[in-house]
Amino acid sequence: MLAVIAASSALPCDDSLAASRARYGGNLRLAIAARPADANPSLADAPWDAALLSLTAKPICTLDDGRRIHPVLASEISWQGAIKLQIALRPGLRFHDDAALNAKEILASWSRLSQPSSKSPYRALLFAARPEALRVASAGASQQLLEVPLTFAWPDLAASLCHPALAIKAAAESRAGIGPFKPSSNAGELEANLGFPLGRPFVDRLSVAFTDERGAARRLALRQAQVVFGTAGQRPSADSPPALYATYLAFRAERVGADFRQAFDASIDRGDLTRFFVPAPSVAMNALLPPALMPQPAIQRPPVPAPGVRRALTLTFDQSLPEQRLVAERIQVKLHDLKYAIALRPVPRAQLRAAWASGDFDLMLHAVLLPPFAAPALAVAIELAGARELLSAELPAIGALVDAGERERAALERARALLPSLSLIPLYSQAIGIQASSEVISLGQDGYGLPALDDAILLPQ
Amino acid sequence: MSIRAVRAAAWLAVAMGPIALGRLALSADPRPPESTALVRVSKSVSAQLSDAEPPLAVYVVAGSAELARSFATLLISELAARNLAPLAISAPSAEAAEAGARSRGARSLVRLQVALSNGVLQARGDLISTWVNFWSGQAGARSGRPAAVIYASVEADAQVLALAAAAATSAPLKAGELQLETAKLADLPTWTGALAAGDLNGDGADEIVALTNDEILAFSSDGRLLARRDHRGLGDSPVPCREPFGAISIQSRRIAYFSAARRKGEVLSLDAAGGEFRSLGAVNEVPVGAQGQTQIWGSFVPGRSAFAPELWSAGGERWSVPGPFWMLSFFSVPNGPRALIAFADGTASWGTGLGDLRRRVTTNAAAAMALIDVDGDGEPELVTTSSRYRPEADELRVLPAPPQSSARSASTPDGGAPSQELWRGTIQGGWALQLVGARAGAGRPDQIVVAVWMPDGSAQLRVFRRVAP
Repeated sequence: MLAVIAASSALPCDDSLAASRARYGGNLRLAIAARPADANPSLADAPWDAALLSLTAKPICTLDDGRRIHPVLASEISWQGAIKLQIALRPGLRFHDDAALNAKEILASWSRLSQPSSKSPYRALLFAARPEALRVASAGASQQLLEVPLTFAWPDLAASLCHPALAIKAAAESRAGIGPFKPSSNAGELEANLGFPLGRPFVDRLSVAFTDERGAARRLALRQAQVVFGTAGQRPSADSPPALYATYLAFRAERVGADFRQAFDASIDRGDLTRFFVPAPSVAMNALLPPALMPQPAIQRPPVPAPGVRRALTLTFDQSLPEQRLVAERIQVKLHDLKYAIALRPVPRAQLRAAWASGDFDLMLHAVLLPPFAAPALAVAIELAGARELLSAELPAIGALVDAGERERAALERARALLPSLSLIPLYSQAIGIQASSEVISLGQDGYGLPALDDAILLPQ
Repeated sequence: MSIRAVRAAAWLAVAMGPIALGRLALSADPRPPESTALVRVSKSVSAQLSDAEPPLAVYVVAGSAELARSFATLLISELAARNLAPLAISAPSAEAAEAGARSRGARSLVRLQVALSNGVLQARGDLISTWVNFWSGQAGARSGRPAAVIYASVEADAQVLALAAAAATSAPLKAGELQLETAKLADLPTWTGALAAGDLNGDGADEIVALTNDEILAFSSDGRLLARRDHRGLGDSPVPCREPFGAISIQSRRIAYFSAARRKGEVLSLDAAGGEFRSLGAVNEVPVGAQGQTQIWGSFVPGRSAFAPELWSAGGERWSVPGPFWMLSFFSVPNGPRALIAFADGTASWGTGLGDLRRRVTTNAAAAMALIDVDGDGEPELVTTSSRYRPEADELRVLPAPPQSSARSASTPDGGAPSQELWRGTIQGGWALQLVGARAGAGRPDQIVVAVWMPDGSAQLRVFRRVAP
């Protein structure tokens, strides 16, 4: 007996999309216009670095584009009252080398942010937690509970734990975390992780090539890459990913002088920075937090201060970000007439963070990936300004507000009030520039505006 | 929307605590009776008639006598509460109703047509005064008393659809003769992984069972939530699927299900009186369907939203279909069983049973396909949604299934393909990945129940049912 087509001629035909369910399979080729990132998640915080790292190492949760929390390594995140967060780890999670993930490794990952050797501004995300009181409790034979007591109510802690800088990695540097992909035996290639708790990605493999912007565009044109990260894209609009990678000029007030901020504001138009030096998608920042989080006030350009004594300063910046060199040179030139003799000092990001942590700088261009919530973003900005003592004064009052909208408003109000007193000048914020060929569909993004390549579907050629 | 948004509603509670879980739970709770579509329309219409002069005659027509009668009953009740002294008028036409109302002493008349169109229940018509100036003589001029245009519409529900449903027919349908209408059956907090229908309480009408990544839920044929059960206790699958996926099979009032998100499946019975499921034990095999009285078991393709091609029965019979597949639909008719399969590569095949599904043909199959007797003639029609991935507007289409004789004689890949669709309609709001046929009761055609994935990560069950043209 023969089988027969069911209704083939009457069914609509569109071969390119002829599947009502997602297609699995294929090798997705990705080109990144940047250098390979550091293995430490807190240092791989540029959007393109974080997007790549999150493929192999997820935090305990992620935020979707609606800023909703999705437990990943946790099966449940719940509040036990206002000042205790309980995290139930998914049982049976394993790294790709078959080592089991346990709560101790999560605590170790978080505590790395506060260690002297790798102190990070992202430690502000955990400021409300009492690290000395973190506790691992067992719930049955296979499941582990992690109890996170807080010193004050901080409802945004659960969302803060989804920050890519808090990705969970084991102590061994060579070992990746747990993500939708895992390292393959082939260099530069990742393969689908069948055991990923949210389900394997749709594509089987991901080939990653690091190049420059021109090389990435060329690969895309020659169909050697299907997705490109880090190329210039459109300026952010209402429906584009939020630009949360915020760059600040941090300064040591005692070294730069009292009228430095006035000199900067009088000499440098932030709009010029994004117009001429920082590739799109990027927006100028006039407020402490980027436009994705708070409305930007118009800057009243102050009068140029009278040149004082000549100051020899060093401007430290991240050598892995080409736009920072351009911006640093702009600052150097514009402030030269005001008797600021600025020497430029490009350093690797790890060295930049170390200099920031020790306070060993005059001026520093410092970029951080802010959370998409105003209160934790304010905490990171305050930490970045080196004003950690302010956190204990500012955060409890904001955290005491139960309503998320009220917390958001209170955080923005404090951001406006604190900006003049912080040793920090907001410059611009960036989103990731992405280009994808037409054979890639369903390329979503998360709450940080980072592309979710695990959602991408590759259409057959 | 990204795939990860699927889990959004389910995990919203994580950020908001147990209170949020409670709120989500309410979304599928039974609606209070006063909120049915008919009641809401009758309240809206009666409010528009509050200035009418009593006694008020009510004349209602609809495509279905039951729908017209039910609406008139509710409207008259509402009008009586407003002291408008309503009375029902039966007449062959709207013009004749005026004379009838006048002869029964009514001072005003409302003439309404009630219709169900594209999932919306509408009542529209007019209000006139029946009083005629004696001195106008033969002219019968209308008085200057107030007249009004009446219009009300609400989203239809399953109750309205049942009242508007047509009776079964015995003759084969031709294109244009089939008219389906749709209504929302229920809301679900997250996308569905599987859908099934079966008579769980012996009343002759099928209940609907839906499976999400976290729960299994049973609904009555009118959309009331009968029971729900959190199946996360079955453990996480070591190779879960990115999309919600699973299988439900109902036989002899027992529900066997297996979610691809879980380590194992379960067999349940429904305690309708207690409003809960009772577990009858766990299963390690996936209940992909039932061919007659034979339960067919299988397995998932690890990590993918598809079933593996190897199938078996409890009696030791084994089958191997040509490849991984999305769905398998069986239909029993007196002259032999029918089977339809949609493979995971977007092709489909049709045959007389599992052993007959040999050939994979190039076609554009949808994940949501089924054999359903839509017109009630005892023979199945082929019901399908769009074969496109996340179309802007999904659609439901009814096609005549190839007759069994042509199935046996066809020798080309396109042999036996139906040339003309019987009906096509839009599925509003999202994408349909599962559909089933549900028996609506003796003498009624089967209804089509569709699970629609909404872009916000929630899901909706919609019912399509044949109505009188």
